[in-house]
Amino acid sequence: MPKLLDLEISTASLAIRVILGLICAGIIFFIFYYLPVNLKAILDFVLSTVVPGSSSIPPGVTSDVLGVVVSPILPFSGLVLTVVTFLEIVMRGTRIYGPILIVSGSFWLVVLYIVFEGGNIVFALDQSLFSGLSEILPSFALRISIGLIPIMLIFMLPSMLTVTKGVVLVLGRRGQK
Amino acid sequence: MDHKKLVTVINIMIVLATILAVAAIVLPIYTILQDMPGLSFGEPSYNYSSTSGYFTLPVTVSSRGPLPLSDITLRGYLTCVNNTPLLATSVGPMEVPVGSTTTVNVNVTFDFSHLSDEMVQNLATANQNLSLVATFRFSTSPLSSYELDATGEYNWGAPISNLRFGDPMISDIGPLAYNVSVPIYFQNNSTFFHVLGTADVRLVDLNGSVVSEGNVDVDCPPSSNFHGDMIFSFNLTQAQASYYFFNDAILNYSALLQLTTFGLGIHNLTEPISVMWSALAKDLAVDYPSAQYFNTTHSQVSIGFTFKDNSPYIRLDGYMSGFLLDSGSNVVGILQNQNMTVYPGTTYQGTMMGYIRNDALGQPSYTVKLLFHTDLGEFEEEVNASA
Repeated sequence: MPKLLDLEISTASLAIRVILGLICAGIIFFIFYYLPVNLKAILDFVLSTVVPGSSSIPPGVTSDVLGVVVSPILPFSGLVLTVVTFLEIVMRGTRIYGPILIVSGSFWLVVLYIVFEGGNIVFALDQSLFSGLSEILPSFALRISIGLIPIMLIFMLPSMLTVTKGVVLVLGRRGQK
Repeated sequence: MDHKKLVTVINIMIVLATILAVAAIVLPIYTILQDMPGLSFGEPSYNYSSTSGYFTLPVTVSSRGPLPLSDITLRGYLTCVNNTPLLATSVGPMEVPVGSTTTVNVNVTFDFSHLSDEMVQNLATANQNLSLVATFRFSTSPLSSYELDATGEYNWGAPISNLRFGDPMISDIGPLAYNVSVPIYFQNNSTFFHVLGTADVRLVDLNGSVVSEGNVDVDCPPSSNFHGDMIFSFNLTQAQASYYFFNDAILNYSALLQLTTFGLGIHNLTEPISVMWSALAKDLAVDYPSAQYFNTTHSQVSIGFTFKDNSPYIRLDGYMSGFLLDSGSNVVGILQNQNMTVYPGTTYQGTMMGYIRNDALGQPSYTVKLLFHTDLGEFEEEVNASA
């Protein structure tokens, strides 16, 4: 029976862990790396095929909105999260599982903070979106603020608990020694 | 507690927290989707006074979702120079508990009463950009809040833009009186102001005395042009009428206009106007009389004459008569009635027949006193006829 960092595990179980880890890591990679990097192209494709006349949307608008929704550091965070998620599943029950949970939970906290823009998402839409109104509104800007601090904190709860779980596992393993 | 049990408890808490997180994102979205169909607008109403107006729109909000709507607030201002507000709206903050329906009146107030006359005049006549600030916010308590802030410039179209008078024209003429028609034009560049009222106009002469008054009803919808005609009546003395019958003149006046319309108070305009008067018998001239023996006391006389109806539109109908005067202004002859019809802008030539005393023949010059008997009155002019 193979040993994975002091944890005796069957080959089948290891294989299942790796496959499960790859699937979950793949999902995380897709959501937190692929989508943010390609969101503009995806949106343009969806708009052009689903919404008739969407070609009249000014070119800068989707970029303006996406620039707010997708933080520039989100793709990098997504890559790190992919690796951590894979390790979290494969290394479950090993002696480094606790530290991995601490790292994973902490990273999730960071990613959630980035995704929620600190709990206050702000879109600043400028004149280009309102070109049709330029005759009566020569200059016009719209700022949309969405306050999501309570939701962000609730979303952070599982990650905080994950960190706590990691700490408990580390302390428990030390206690066993 | 055993750390394995603790981990189990934490695992359960993680599952519960994950469910809570999903609920936290779903609930506000579900609330908004449920509440949107419950939003309805009633019949708008308007209330006007001379310098302010109130637009009221009843809005009904139904809270059909799982979360209450709270902190519903609307603020909006349209301001001109020095941040002086022209238009304002303010609603809330208000709350709509779950399962209840609330109707709120959104009042938009136009108020010009606190503006100086200069500012009102400026707004009435000059297109300009006004500052627009608006905020709308609401919360799906306690999870999320939403705020829209709009800033910009509103293109204010002047309701009375490019106000001007056209060229005055004499529109009607009668005995010792005539009417002058003065066109008035302006553009209503506003997208929502309907210029409706009465323009009072006075004409004053160069001495500042009011010589005529008139008014014109103004009804100019948004984004349209106005063209109206103001009619002024003038009465003349016999001396003035006689003078204008034989002489061209430029009649100079100042037109004082006061246009009272909703929200803009009184708008004043003073502009000089000139009425070009054209004589009906201009350049009147007569030939030296030619005489032919008639009897022992009188000779038959004929006198050629000419004049021009200089008016572009008034036809002269009537007849002429006259007298011959010697150098001492004594009547020495009489000229018989001569019918005439003179068309506008034409020169009229004719010959008047009459009789002269034989003892007055052969003088080097005579004064011919011509009398015009017309629809417009009777006018006389003395002309010298030299050999």
